[in-house]
Amino acid sequence: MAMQWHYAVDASDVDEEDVVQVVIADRELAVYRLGGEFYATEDACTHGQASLSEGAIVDDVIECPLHQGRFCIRTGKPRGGPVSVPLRTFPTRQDGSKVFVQIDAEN
Amino acid sequence: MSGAARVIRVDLKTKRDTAGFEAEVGERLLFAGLRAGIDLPYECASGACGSCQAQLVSEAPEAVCNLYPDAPAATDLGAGRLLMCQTACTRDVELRLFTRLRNLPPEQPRPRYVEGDVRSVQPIARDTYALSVRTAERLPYQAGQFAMLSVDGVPGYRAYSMAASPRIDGPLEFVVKTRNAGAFSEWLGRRAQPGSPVRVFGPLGRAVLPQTPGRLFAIAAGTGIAGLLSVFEEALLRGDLARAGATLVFGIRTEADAFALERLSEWARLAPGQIAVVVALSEGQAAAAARYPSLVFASGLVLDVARTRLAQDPHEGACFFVAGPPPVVDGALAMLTDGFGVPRNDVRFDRFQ
Repeated sequence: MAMQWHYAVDASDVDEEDVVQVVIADRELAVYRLGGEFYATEDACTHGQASLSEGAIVDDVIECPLHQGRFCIRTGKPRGGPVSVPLRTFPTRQDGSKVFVQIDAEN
Repeated sequence: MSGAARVIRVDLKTKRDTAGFEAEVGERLLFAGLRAGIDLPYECASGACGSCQAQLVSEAPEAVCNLYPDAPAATDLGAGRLLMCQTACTRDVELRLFTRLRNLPPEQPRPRYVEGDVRSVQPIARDTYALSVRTAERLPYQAGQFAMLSVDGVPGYRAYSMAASPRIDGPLEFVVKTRNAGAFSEWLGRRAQPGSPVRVFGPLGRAVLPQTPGRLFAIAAGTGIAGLLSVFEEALLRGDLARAGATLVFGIRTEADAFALERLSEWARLAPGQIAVVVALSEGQAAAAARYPSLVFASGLVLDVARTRLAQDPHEGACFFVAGPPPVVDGALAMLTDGFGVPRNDVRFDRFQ
């Protein structure tokens, strides 16, 4: 499937150890900043109806605000709580002050 | 809702956003927020799924009235958490949400209260009734949506899917499975008669037929098929089936639990080669099979029969629907995503108890 880079946020929009929601082509993503690097996952928790961008970051883990399910921000793997389905992750790239996310054209 | 009711203010906040709406004293916060056009999180709207959780921020616990303390989803709520579908307030409150705040999409009919009355109640299968409700005003909805019904002498609302295409003008048609000792079942079986008042709130639900769905593949168990009758009828009338085709696997226990076969059979006959309807019986034989030559009958659990069909029927890029009791919905989701690699976002469902 064709992968495309999309502008997501300005780097200055995301503080260190913070997460924001961005919507790209009707798709809701969470963009994180950890140790100066940017990461992106789906924003919707795989367990309940919640936005991970509303959650809290501890080290490299995002904790869902609804049931405290935890995912690794770098890999999307479950790290505890009631979650069992991994989170989809997306490659990111910083170009100057802009952060881009690579998603497939259809999904 | 009556015009003179006292109104309170509900303020919502998330990490970065705030919003608010007015609710009548005693009104369910979920209903008030939705009719105000806020896309609050929910699935069942009945206290079973826990999706409409919020955190009470304002320190006014005495202002909060829990309308259904024994709700299935109430057992694992954290401190200060509430279910918006089962909570009413007597004073202004502030809540924290766990999803992003947004408005209902403009193409979605705004949920509202409508007064109605029973047009007819008819038994159609074992413990199963067709309930037809006339409403004072037309209630626009999308194929696949449901409404909340409230009747005299029965506390709370019950969720039932509209079982006909929204383009068909007329009463709202529902399929209701009765349960032992259920108050709504008792009303339906003994007290409901033409003219009995029914209060309706709706339409609700996100498992709707998209504008250009591609092929449809649906798995339904029991009365869960109601919303899919609406989806398939609309797809047929709109011409979607002629374009992309569809498979519907309908699971029931025995032939005594079968309903809607005439209708399904007629659709399969009208659209030969476009719609495959498979009736999966988990017990007993299908003596009626000869009466419905356009339907396929199979023996086995609905998920097993669906798995066999998935292996046979094209479903790449299809729009999937799943409906039924939670074990069927969860099992079908796992089968589709893990077994057949279907993206989770391509499966539409609303989880009911």
